[in-house]
Amino acid sequence: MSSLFGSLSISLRALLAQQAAVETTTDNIANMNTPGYSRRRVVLEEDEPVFNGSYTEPRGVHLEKIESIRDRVLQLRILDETQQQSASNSLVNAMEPVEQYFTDGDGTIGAELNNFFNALSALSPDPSNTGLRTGVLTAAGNLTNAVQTTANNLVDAQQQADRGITQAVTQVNQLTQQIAALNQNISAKIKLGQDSGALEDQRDVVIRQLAGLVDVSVMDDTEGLTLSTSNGSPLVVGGKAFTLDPQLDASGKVAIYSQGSDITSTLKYGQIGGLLDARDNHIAPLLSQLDTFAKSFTDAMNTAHAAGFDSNGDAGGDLFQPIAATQGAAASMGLAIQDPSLLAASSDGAAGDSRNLAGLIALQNGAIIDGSTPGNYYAGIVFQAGTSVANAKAASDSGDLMLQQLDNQRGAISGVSLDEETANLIRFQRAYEAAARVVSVISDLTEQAINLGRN
Amino acid sequence: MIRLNPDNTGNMLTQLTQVKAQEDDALLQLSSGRRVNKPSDDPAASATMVGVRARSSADDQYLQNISTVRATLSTADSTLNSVVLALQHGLSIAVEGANGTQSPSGRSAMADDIEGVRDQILSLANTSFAGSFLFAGTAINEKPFVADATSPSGFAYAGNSNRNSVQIGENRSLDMNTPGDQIFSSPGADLFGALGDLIQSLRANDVGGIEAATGDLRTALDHVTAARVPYGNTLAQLDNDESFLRSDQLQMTTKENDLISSDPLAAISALRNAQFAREATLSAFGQTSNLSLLDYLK
Repeated sequence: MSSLFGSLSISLRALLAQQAAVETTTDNIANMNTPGYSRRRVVLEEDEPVFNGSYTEPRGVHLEKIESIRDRVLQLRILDETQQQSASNSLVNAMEPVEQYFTDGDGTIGAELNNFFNALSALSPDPSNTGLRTGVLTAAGNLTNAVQTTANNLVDAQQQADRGITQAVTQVNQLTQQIAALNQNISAKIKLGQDSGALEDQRDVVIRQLAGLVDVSVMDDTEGLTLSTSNGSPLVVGGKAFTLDPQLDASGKVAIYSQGSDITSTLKYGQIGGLLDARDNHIAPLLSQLDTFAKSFTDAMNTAHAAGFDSNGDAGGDLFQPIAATQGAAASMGLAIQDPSLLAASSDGAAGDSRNLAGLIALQNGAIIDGSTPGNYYAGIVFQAGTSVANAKAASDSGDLMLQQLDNQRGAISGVSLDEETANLIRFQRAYEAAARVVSVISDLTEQAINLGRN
Repeated sequence: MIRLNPDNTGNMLTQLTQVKAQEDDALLQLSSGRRVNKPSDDPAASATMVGVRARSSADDQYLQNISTVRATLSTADSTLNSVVLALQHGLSIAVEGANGTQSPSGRSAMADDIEGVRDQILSLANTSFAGSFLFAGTAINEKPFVADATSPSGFAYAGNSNRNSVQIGENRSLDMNTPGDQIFSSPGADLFGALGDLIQSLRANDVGGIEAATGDLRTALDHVTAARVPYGNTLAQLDNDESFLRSDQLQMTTKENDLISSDPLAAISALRNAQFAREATLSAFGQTSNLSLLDYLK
């Protein structure tokens, strides 16, 4: 049987439900600028009506739950894109200083190479001129300096990348600790049937930070979230974090260990992946090409130089310091003679002959370095340095747009709209007012019922 | 209805960053005058520029070499011209000396004249330029012709018989010198020998000897005249080489412009576009971001 008190109870529950809705709206508005916040929505549900024998009696409304609006698949796509984007950005940042060493201008290997051959050519008409002979040695010295400096700069850039990698690993370890702690809290809340939305938002933010640093793949199971690198090395399993361990390998480079095994070569994404890519796949080849350049150039020059005679009529010695091994050749390139009279310009031993210079000059157009002329070989290095940066930049630019688009999608699903919240606020306010009004009507009715039959 | 991302600041910032990057790029192109400022701006053009720079700087150097070579060759050529003139003078004396009407004292005076001619030619054969003897082969520090009593001509050649060649272009070299022994004392055209014989025959009043020496002298003159020809030819070739190098330089400059120079008009219009886009984005952002439903509620 229906009763006034039944109605009172319905409107009281309505008041509570609308109040919760207003509160949720307020929470959304309060967090509209909180990074990673997913908007909440109240889920109201009609109370199950009761059949009282003659008819079904309504029971009103109750707050079923407050849910966070999020798209987990989208979240994973954002993570993927964040990893790639961060790798491209780190690659660009690491390579931009490197390409400067190969920029067209004075003091570069290209410029010094030209100066050297020009100094040889200048000596050709006047081979006994001490000033011009000194000029050749100076230019040769400048060339070896340029090669050495460039090689040292490349090694510096690799060490810079290593410092970045070590720092990033430290951050990774901090973040995985945080995620493990959040995992514990979240699963505790879920077990208690409580809303874990706020903690999940926090965890999403931290996971995204993690994805900016290293390869992360996410697996969500009943036991909580499992994070691992792309080759399956664990980072976080439920409430337990696994640390990554940076160690120096035999060549003095940083290698990353997980659970005692070296996973360096499997890391492709995030800041760590990008820096490893720069170090091993972009800077290292440039360095080894410079080594080849230094070694082959030195060998060819010394052979051609030794075919001639110096100012004293003695057979020519080495012009550049002989280099035994190709590896590290660029950093050790140097001049073998300081005395201009030891320059073997002559091929007949007489002071006025410069035909041996012709042999040295001819090397400018000789295929002496891996089948290329010195200039072409160097041009190849320039091309490679430029392409590395240009490709990484293109990837980073398109990644920016992609990530922006995904963020827009995320915003469309999870972002707080002020208009929507305001409209909701009005809606819930009206419902609350109406329910309150019902209470006061029932109050009037009960008063009338109490006063029934009084006069 | 598809829900839109309520927060458009991210879009706006991406837009602004892109437009700002375009603006900076256009500004850099304008201020540097270059479209390619680092290898990544255009890797292929940057690589090609390595070759262009090498060639244009080599062209500069070859042009300098040509002017050095020209100075040396001109000096040698005009020296040989003086030798030819001196020899012609000597030859006219010799012809006169062979004349039957000459007295022994007249021939003796002529011998003195020929000695003068010989001294003059000796000094011309020993000409040095910029500290190097021009006719000593590649032994440029050796005075090429020195008095030597043991030699039939009275002079010995102290230079060598080598020619030096100089690079004056990519794959282009030329001979810088003709060794002195091939000009002045070549077998069958020994200039100093002929002059020595002439002097002796004049002093000895030996008309037959004078006539024989005159013939030798004529042969020597022809030989020197012939030796001058390559110098003249080479000098003429140098002019061709120089104009080739200059046009190559011009070509390299054109190529450089094509490869890396910025087009100022394009850069200015890109700058204008970027500035306009940035202003438009900013003003749109300023106008829309303030609006919400709240503005329309009491």
